[in-house]
Parts: sequence; C-alpha cells; structure tokens
Amino acid sequence: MVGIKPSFMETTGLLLISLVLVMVILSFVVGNVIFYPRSESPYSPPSQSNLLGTDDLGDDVLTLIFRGSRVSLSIGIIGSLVSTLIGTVIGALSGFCGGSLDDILGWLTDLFIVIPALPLMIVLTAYLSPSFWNVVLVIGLLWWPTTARLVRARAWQLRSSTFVEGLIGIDASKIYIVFRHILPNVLGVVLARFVLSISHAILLEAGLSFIGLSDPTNPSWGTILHFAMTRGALLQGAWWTFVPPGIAISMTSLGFILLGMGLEQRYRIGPKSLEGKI
Amino acid sequence: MEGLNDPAMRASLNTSFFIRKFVRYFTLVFTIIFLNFAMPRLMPGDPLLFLFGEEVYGAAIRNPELIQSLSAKYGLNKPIFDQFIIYLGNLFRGDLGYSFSYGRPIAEIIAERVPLTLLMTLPPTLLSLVTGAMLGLHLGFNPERAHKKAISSLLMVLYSVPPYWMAIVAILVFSLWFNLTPIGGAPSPGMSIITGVSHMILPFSVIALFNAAYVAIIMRGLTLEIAEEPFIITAKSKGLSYIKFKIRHLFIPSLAPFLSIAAIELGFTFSGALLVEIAFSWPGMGYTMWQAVVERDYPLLQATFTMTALIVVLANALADLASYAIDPRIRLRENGRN
Amino acid sequence: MRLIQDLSGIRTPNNLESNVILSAEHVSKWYISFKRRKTVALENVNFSIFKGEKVCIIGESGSGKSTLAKILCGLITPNSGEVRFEGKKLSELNKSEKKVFRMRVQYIPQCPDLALDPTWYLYDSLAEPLRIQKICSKQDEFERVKEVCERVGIGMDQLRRKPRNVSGGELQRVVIARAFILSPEIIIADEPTSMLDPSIQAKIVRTILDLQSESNIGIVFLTHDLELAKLVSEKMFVMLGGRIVESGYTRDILKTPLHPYTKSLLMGVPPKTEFKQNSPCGFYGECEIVSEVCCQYPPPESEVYGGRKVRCWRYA
Repeated sequence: MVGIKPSFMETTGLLLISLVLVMVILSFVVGNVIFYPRSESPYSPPSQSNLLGTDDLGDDVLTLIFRGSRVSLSIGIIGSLVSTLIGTVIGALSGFCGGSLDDILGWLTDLFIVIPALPLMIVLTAYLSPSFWNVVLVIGLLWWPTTARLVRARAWQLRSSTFVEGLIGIDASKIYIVFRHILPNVLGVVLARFVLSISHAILLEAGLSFIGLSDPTNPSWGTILHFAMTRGALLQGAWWTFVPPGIAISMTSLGFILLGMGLEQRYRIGPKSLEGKI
Repeated sequence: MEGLNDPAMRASLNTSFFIRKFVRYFTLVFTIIFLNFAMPRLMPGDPLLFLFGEEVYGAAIRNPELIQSLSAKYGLNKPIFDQFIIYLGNLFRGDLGYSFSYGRPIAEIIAERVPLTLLMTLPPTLLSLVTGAMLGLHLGFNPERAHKKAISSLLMVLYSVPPYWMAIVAILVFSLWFNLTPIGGAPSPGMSIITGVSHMILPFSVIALFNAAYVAIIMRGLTLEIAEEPFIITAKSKGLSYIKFKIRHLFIPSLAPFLSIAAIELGFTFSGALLVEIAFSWPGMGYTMWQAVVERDYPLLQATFTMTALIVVLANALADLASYAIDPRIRLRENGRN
Repeated sequence: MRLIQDLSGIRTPNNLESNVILSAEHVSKWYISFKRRKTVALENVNFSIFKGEKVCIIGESGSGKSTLAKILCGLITPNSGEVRFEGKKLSELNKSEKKVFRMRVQYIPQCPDLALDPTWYLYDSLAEPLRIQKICSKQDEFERVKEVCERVGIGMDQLRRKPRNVSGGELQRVVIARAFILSPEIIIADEPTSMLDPSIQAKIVRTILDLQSESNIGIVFLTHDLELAKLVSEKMFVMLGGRIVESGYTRDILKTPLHPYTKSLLMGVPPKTEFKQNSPCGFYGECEIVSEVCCQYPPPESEVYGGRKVRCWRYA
C-alpha cells in the first residue's frame, strides 16, 4: 500500500473527503465559537449575517449543515464498518469452508441481495424508533450481502490456489489459513468495499432521514431535506434550505465512491498484472 | 461445450435450471411473507401497536373489549404457529388489514397505488437500460479519449446525487422558477393528454437520468474488463467493421453479466424511485410509505414493504429469464457451481 | 529369474518391500461433472518409491501426473484405492501420524508465482513450515533458514522481499528451500522447471539433485521432458490418459521401450489427436500394431521381467 501513487480518481475522492472532514472540524468551531444567532425572520435569504440564510424556525442553515456533517459522516462510517465486518466474515467462511456452510450462507446472501434494502430499513427503523444507533444497526445488518459475495468469490479463488494447497501440505490448520493467509489477501477487496459502503450508508441514511426516520434532536443532512419538504420550504422557493444539504450529501458520497472505485480497480486485477505498480 | 450439442443433456440442464430458479424465487417470496409476519411480532414493544397502528392502539388501550376482539381476529393469544396459519389465510383472501389513516382496507389502497408506481418507474427504467447500456459500451471502449473521460466523470457525479434531491431541485427550477410543469401529483383519468404528460415529464426525466447514469457506469466497467480479454485482440485482427466488432465482441459478451448485476442492484434504483415519488407528491408506493411513517400507520407501512419487495423479486425473475434467453452459457455455468 | 534381474540392472540391495516408503495401490480418481458425466483422471494406478530413490513420472499435460502427485502427498483423496506411507494407510492415520506424514512428504508445485502467499515476506513464508510444525525456537529457525538458503543458493537479503519482487527462478529456489527445510524423506516435484527459462531450468534441476544426494531423499519428479527424465531419474513411470502404461528402470526403458506410446515418445513423434477418454486403451487409434482385443478391453498390467511392467495387449 505504502508508496503507491494514487490515481486521478483516488486523488479527487480524497480531496472531496478531506473537504467534508474540514467541515466536521469546523462544525465544532462554528457551532460553539462563531455561533450564528437565530435570526428573527424565518426563511430569510442568504445575507451577511446568515451566509446561507435561515430555515422555517429562523435557524442558520450553514450551522445546521456543519452540524449535520458529523451525524451523516459518523453514521456512514460506523454503519459501513458494521456491514463490512459482517460481510467479510460471512464471505470468508463461506468461500473457504465450502460445503453445506457455503450453501447456507450463499442462500442467505442471495436472499438479502434481492430483497430491496431501503424499504426493509424503513420498516425496521420505524419499529425500532430512529435513534442514531438504531440507524447504524439497521444499515449495518442489511447492507452486507454484496460485500459477502465479493469476499466469497475472492476466498474461493484463493482456496483453490497453489499456495493454500501447499499450506495444507505442511499441516496448517483451517483456522490458521483463514486468519493468516486468506484474510490478508482479501484485505484489499474489503478495504475498497468498506469505502464504497460508506458512500452507500450515507445515501441510505439520507434517504431514511428524508422519509422522516431520523433523530430530530440531532439532525443530519437528510433531516434538513425532510423538514424543507414537509414544512413547505420548497413551495416558498427557499432554495437555500434544501440545495446546500443536497450538495453536501452528493459531494460526500461522490468522494467515497471515487476513492472506493479507485481502490477496487487497484485490487481487482490479479497479483500478476499488479507487478509494475507495487 | 461439447455437452451443449447433446439434446438430451441440454433438456436435462434446462429442467434443472428452471427447478433451481423456481426454488429460489419460492423461498424469496416465502421469506418476504414471513418477514412481514414476524417483524411486528418480534420487535421490541407491544405487537398490538405494530399490528394496528398508533391511532387504533391508542383507542384500544382504553377499551379492553376492542383489544379482545382484535386479538381474536389475528389469533394473538394463540401459539405463534397458529398465528402464522391465520395470517397466511388472511393473506390469501386478500386481507392485508385496515389502515386507520385512510379509513380503508389496505388491499384497496395498494391496488390503487401499485399501477401508479409502475407507471412512474417502468418506462424510464426501460429507457435508461437501453440508453445507459449503449452509452456505457461507447465509454468503455478506448476510455482514454478526453470527451469520454469527461462524460464518465459526469456520470459519476449524477450517480452520487440522491435522486429525490435531484427531483426537488428540478421542481424548484422548472415548476417554480420557469413555471413550465406542475409542482406535483400524478396524472388522473380526467386530465387532458397535455396536462397528463406535463405531470409525468419531470419524474420520468429524473428517474431516467439517475438510472441511465448508473447503468452506464456498470456497462462501462464490464466493457473495460472484456476489452482486456485476449479474444478481443483476435477479433480486432480479424478486420471487422467498427460497428460489427462492437456489437459482436463487446456488446454480446457483456450482456449476460450486465443483466445479472443490473438485477442485483435493481432494488437500489427502485428504492431511489420510491423516494422520488415523495418529492413529486406522486401517490404511489413510496409516497404511501412516507405517509405511513408520518402517521405511524404500521400495518400500511408493512404492506407497502411487502408489495415493493414482491415487485423487485418479480423484476429479478424477469431479468433471470432474459439472461437465460440471451446467453446459453449461463445454464452451464450455474450448473458447475462456479 | 535371478539372471533376468541382473540383466535389467537391479543391483540395489535395499530393493525390498519393507523399504517402500510411499506407495499407491489401485488408486483411481474421477470427477463427476454436469449430469452423471464421469471424467476419469486416474485409473487403477500402482506406484511405489523406495527410500532415497529418484523416480520420474513422465507424461503429457492431462495424463494425470499432477493428480497422482497430489494424491501421493495427501492433498486429494482418491475415490478408490489406498495410499500407504511406511506401510500405513493414509486414510487411517491419526492426527500426530498425519503431522509426521506432512513433514516427511513435501510437494513442490508447478508454478512458483502462485506457490507462496503474495502478501507475505519470503523469509516468513520460508520459515512457516518450521513454525507450523513447532519444531524449533526462533534462533534455530533463523539458523535453519540460513543453512537451507545457502544450500539452494539464495542470498538472505532476497528474503526481505515479497514474491512479486523476485524473478521466477529465485522464487522457485525459495519454494524448493521451503520443501527441504523440514528435512523430508520424499519430495514430490510437479514439473518444477516448466515455467522457467531453459538456462535457469538446468540450474534448478542441479540444485534439487545436489540436495538429494546430500541427504539421500527420495524424489518424485514429474515432467513431460524426456531429456530431463534421463538426467534425473533411476526409475520411470510413463503415464497416458490416467494410467501408468509402462514402468521400470530409466536405462531399460530408454534402451528398449516396450509400449508403443513410449516408443513414439522416444522417437519424438507427436501424437496426432487427442486421446479418447473412455476408449479401452489410451493409445488406441494412435497405435500401429492394433489387434482386435485392443478396442474391446482395457489392457491388463503385466510384468515383463523384474520390475518392468507394461500395460499393453502385446505383452499380456
């Protein structure tokens, strides 16, 4: 990994992600130090005192967006972490052990890949009440199948490769092979998947919030969109309340998608054709 | 490959293919129905709340007799297996429960709204499948060209924009600023054709644009992979015309994997379309889902989930059939486990 | 009988049943693909190797050499028949016996590029067998790695790299070193030179032979190259379509080949067509001397004279 020149895609992705990170850091400053006061007038357009105007309650939109970055990003990262962990373990087990375990896990993966995730998440979140951790949990528990499938394919490929055969030939145990050899080898794929899943998790969280399933005391970008939709900001033509959060969501997800796709390209090609690169 | 020329073997392969697929979709449908049954009963909290929705529950809490009669209807005091049988019976009679927020049986609401969702999603999805695939194919071949790189980057941007937000911005621009299209709502039977079309034009374009971007990205990736294969070099050296070469050696081989990937991610795009409905106040499944969430009408929410899931499963089955028709190798590949 | 044995050049006094280290008895392996279609990889193969013997299995790709090699080192279980290690059946070994077996029999795979974990440093890969078998301390481990590296001719500084940063020849040396590090009794080398340049091939073969003579290890060499076989082996097994068609001492076989396939190999005549899977004799259709029985029944294995076995109706 170290010392590899990042591709154009990865550079752009990293740039966008660092922009969001700056936003997160600034959110502590903006929220607590340069506090934009509540304006008296709701829906006041962008001005000197409120750079992005105010919403229906007279809250400063810029402050809301900076604060929302924390929620969206943390749900994205933690949710993706959970889903990637589940997917990796299931995929590695099913690909390496094979047999009936593979059949069962493969069947489960296939099931959850087809059932549309967002509607199921909506129902579950509605039942569980949409707190921060519930949203993380629901995203983590339902977004693993694609990861599992990719890891399984890679593990399957490794399992039949010569070096694993050689390991069996010197009496290495299955557990040893999975943890010392299979996992390090699928790490690249898993990393790419993790980054891509962050973008998916951010989009999913935004979708859930948009439909009204988020913690209103801790608003994310999607929540701002939800309120803009339900409280008539659109009909008022108050574009400053809903255009900026949408741009923030798109920018963040684009950043992670670009980085993830770059990583995916780097690790998809076999070790042979990677030669000049590492 | 020898096996494909043997008619007996081909027949047996076909049968086993269909049996396998049938089993797959049967388990899928069963799982969805089972989830629908299990979720309200297993969630933390009172199952009565989830089975009847907030309003009925609120009334019932003060009225023990109502609780009794409702519990009896769903068999809630019986063992869980009996409950499932009762539930299945209700389902087959078309009884999905009662929505208090609409004051109507849920089955009626769903029957009304599924066609609207299909009207909104199907035509743009089909359109975007074709255009997106073409565009992706074009972009994936000689991807180093500057204009292709630019278009690919644009597609990535489109793909990462949430479609419902795209819809909101479209309403802002075209309906509020330029006053070209109505702000929302679906076409209804009484409308003139022009008004009807004006209602559809924005949702169609938003969904088509989003889906086409995503389809093109997938197809571009597949084409890139195929273009690296050795047989492409052979094909190039054959001296085919450019168009023939593209169709025969790039398009055809990528079609089957394309369909299977598109089918897998279909749920994702469909979910996006559901959220677009909310932005356009288009009374389809997504809009209903949103209202159910806002009103805490859990039985309605549950039913919309089941219906959307079933629609996605059906679409998957169709994609499976299509790839089967296109690429006979699928039959072999799926048999050989790898 | 005694006379024939002398003529055929059997001199070694240890040529007794009790000195057989590894043997395969009536081993068959087949794969079921699609619907009841049986692909036979090995059919009724008998094989044995004595202590410190150099044996060569010759055959073209697809003849089942690799399958046989993997069965011999216990990576694949045969569908029927038994592999015996020091007289004990492989399928009946308990855990500790299996561990000993894994230590004594080592396998050198065909393609060095894929033989080592691409994410591991070569040093760790090389020391891994010692760690798994837990036979020495960290200090001893270093000494042993150093010693075996000197013997195969790789510098210790090369071991600080990862597999993709060294050349194929060096990598193959590491793989060989890895096989020798546990001081095994038998090494099964599956075409260890086929992926390398001719100039390096010779060096690698020399390395293996040197190691063999130093420690009196038994070697099974798989190859399709007759010249190589002549160079490395005392005994030879010729494989064709999953069967061993001729076996005996290399000198004898090269001097007087009996099976028509061996003859065509020696003359350098390439086979005209692919061999038919389920034909009774793998060489049917190629053979110049065909009798009626050839296309009806598979030929039995018959011992022509001491240790010289052929599978052909002419010698039945």
